[in-house]
Amino acid sequence: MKLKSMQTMPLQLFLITLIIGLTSLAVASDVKKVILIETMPVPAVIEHSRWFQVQLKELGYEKNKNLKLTILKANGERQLAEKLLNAELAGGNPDLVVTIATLASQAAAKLLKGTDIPLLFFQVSNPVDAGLVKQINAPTGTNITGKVYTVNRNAKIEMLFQLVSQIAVHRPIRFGIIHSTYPSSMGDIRELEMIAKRRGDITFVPYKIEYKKVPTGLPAMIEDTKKGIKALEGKVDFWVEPLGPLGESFEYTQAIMELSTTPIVLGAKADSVKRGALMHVTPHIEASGRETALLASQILEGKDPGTILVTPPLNFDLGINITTALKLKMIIPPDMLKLAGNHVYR
Amino acid sequence: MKIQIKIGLALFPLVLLSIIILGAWSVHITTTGIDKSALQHMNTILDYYIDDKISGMHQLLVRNLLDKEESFVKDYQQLAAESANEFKLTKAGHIFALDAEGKFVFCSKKVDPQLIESLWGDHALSIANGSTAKLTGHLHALNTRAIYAARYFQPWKWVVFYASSGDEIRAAQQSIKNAAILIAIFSAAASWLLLFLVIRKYLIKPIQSLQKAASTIAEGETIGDINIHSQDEIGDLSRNMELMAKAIQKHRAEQIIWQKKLEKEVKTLGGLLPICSYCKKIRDDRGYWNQIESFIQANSEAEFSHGICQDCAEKYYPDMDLYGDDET
Repeated sequence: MKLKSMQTMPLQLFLITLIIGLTSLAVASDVKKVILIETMPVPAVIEHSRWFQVQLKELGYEKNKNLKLTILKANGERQLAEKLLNAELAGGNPDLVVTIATLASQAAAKLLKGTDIPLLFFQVSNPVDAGLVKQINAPTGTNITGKVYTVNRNAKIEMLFQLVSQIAVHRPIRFGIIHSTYPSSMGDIRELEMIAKRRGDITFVPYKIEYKKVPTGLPAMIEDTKKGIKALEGKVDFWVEPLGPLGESFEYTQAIMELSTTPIVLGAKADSVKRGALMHVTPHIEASGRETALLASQILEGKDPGTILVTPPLNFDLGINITTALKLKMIIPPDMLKLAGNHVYR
Repeated sequence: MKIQIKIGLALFPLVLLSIIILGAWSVHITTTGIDKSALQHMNTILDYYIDDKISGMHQLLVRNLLDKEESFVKDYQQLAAESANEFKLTKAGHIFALDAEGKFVFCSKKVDPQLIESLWGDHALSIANGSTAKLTGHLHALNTRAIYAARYFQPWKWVVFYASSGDEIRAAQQSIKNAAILIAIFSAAASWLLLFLVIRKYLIKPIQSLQKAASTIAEGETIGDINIHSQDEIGDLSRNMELMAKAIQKHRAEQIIWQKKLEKEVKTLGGLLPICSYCKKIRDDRGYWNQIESFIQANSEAEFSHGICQDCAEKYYPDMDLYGDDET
């Protein structure tokens, strides 16, 4: 009897091992593998990444349980983003690649082209110019989709004009804008110049500097910015901060405020307004991060990214510095003040 | 006078009277409510204007610590004043404000500021000093009659009025009266006409049809269908009359049949018969002389059986005692 049971033991062990193995496989298949690539360590990217992860967690995706989230940091360098992603792809295909900002998105789009790995980008101000999609507010029909990181520029310029036209007597009003060759900055300048040309009552005076990878190249870009400030000082009525990593950095705002007597009237971030810029109109970072996480969840549940519309964020922030407005003898219209809500700084 | 005219004449004053009474009552109720409604409208508009525009602007300034910034306060006050034009006011209505000292601040219409101050200055002072009695009511001064509502906005020391001309209210009342009179006249005429048509259709016309049918029956002619199919008394009468006409027709037909039958059975001779004074032959229509018995036999149902009367028997057969009177 004992001998008989000894003889059947290997079979029992085999069956138990098989059951455990199959169960592990099933559990493993429920774990979603997501790669998140952050282009550079600037506040907007960091905040976007944080709210994206918060929302994912709220949707029930927990790290080391049903979510394997790998965060790659490209440090402002597209080649590094490509290299890091390539290495990850070698270890197996992820369920989703999420990219924050333009360079990482471009790198991922290049590597994932022709694959069935979904790519979800956000904080990209001009995905058409960046070559990610063919048009906004339309489904892509590919494995790529995302959220546009920009506020309607016409509305933004009109709000700005309402304020600056109170004190600028001559037309066109000249806005100095020192920008880098970063893709979203270039796209932004192009759009702004088109608006200025159409309106006729404003003009943008650009000063272009070479983009260097952030954060290591930022000091060099700030030095170039200082040259731009000297070059444009006296030739412009107001400063406008550009989109992209240069405008995102507080050193940029600081440099203008230290070296120029001309006020910054349109900041690229809330921090600029807190430091003294007149106003900013930017997408709501928390809402943008959360909206992207909702899209990520849909894709992980099986939705085809090619059917998802590439849209601008639903919410935006308007920030106003009252001290600057009073200093410039500007009156903030009640509608704008209401819209700014809690983002009125002194 | 025909029955329809009688009914029409009887109904018209009744209808007219009812509608005039109803109209007069409506006019009374409406006109007395106009003042109240006008004031309620003014209070509602004014409250909304103060809460949304004036207080809204002030709160915005307070929340952003700008309520002491003269440039902002002046600008926002100006915007609040201009926003009074956005309200749809009565034709002669206008929103204006005076300060706590009765000085003109703004008006939604182009008016003489001094006139406003002279008319409303005292009211503004009273309201600013806390009088609630003058927050709403009528103003009679300097040939001006107005109905108004007022509020005091303490932070800006503004007494804000919404006033409208009393003439406008009276004009509205008069226009309601006129409209009511017109409606009463129209309603009376329409009601009378409607009643007339109803009576004509359901009473007069059927009676006329029955009358015509009765005349036809009286003339001994057939009437056919009287064409009244209503289920009321007139309908019943019509159907009975049709039955009666049919019965008469039936009796008449039977009478004719009987008459013909009688005519056939009884042939009588009549008129003047030419008869020979001697042979007693009778001349017929064609001028022939006929034996009296053949003539009568031909022109009546009578048959002859020949015999001899007593006189002729004695005359022609004197030898024969045909009547047996010899026995005596």
